[in-house]
Amino acid sequence: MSMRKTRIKAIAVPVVTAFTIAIMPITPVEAGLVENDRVIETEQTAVDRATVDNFIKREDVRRQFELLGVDPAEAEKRVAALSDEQVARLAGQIKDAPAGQGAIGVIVGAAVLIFLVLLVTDLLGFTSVFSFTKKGSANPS
Amino acid sequence: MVNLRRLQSAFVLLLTVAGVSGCAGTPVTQDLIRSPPSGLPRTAEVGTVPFYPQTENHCGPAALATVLNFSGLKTTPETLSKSVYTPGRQGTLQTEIVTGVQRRGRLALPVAGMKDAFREVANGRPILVLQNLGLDFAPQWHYAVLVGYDLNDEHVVLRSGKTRRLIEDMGTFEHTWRRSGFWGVSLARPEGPVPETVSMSSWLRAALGLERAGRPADAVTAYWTAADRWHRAATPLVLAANVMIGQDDLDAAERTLRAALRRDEDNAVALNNLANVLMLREKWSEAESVARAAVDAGGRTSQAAAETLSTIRKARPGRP
Repeated sequence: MSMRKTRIKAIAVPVVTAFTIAIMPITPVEAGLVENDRVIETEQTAVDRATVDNFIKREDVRRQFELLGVDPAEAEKRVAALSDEQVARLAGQIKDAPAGQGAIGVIVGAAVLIFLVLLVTDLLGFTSVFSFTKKGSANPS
Repeated sequence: MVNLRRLQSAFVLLLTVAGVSGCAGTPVTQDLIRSPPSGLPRTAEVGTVPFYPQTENHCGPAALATVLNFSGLKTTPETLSKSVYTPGRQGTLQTEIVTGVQRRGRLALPVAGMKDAFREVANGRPILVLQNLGLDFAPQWHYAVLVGYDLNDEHVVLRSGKTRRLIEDMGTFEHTWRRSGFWGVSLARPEGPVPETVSMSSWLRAALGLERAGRPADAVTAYWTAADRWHRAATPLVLAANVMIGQDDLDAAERTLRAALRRDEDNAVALNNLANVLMLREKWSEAESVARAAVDAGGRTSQAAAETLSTIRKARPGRP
């Protein structure tokens, strides 16, 4: 009997050990490696930020800012403080609109620009034309 | 968060109510006809695109077979319908089109708009498009393949339903395509060439799709293609290196990450991942200094860099 127990133990120990090794992280690298999903996300965020930054630096946009009494330098600072998600949505709007192909594509030309500028200034807390922008955007930080 | 969708529809409604609806219509078509982008031919058609007439409700598999065969993969709508047709919904979902492309080793690239679509057609690429032939409140979804356009006669040419060469009024096409948010896909081989209108981030995202579809070798090829096309960007190399790490080819991963850093020496992700590879290869002292550089580079991945550095410090054998 005890021999059998020993034999079971002789099998069980390596098996359990093998399983333990199998479920342990293969390498400690898992902790700090930036995986590809994340790499893509980081890349996309950089692209979106550049889209928004370029938009608010445009001459015609700056003129609209001034008409609204918004200091462009302050606007830039507030854009920098927007969350990645807010920036992504805004970038999507900007990319779609001038080509007239987004959901708001039926509005053309100057109206698009003013719409986008108001969207930006609302998000940044300078204006509050659209009541929908209030929730969650009062604190751009 | 800002509800942009609601905002948009409210704004559109507002304008319509205000009587500005004169603006509504087909602005892209009007714009394309009046002032076509420079270099865009007045007419173009990819006549060599094959045709697979659809059977009932099977426009998804038929359109997918059309573009897959054009890109050199022999398949039929019948074969495809097993994997992309959802009987319960009597149709094919967009995600199924995309994964159907990826599983066969092609990149599914978004083409969001008429200008880009025409440009690609002029370059010899058909575009798979999702149209809503009904109205927003009573949708009738339909997949077709855009193969040509004519700015003089204001029409497009589609492989659609049971018609090999459907001539559709350009304005009508804009309306029906707009209702899907201009959802369109073009196919590319991992080895390229990269379509003219595709941005680096779209290409890389599509390449990541190949990885997810269980085709790491194709993904790496696509990352290298991107590294070639955007020869100053480090990100394609960082992505390729990660696949190599997954395949335990640490030597290749190390070389690739060093190449990424030659392109962009302060790239925080490349530094961080190189530190990880060096640790795995037990090159402790360099691993630690690279990890420190990754921490110093900051950015969105600084948390990961801090973890890397502390892991290296813990794992590093005591100095003699």
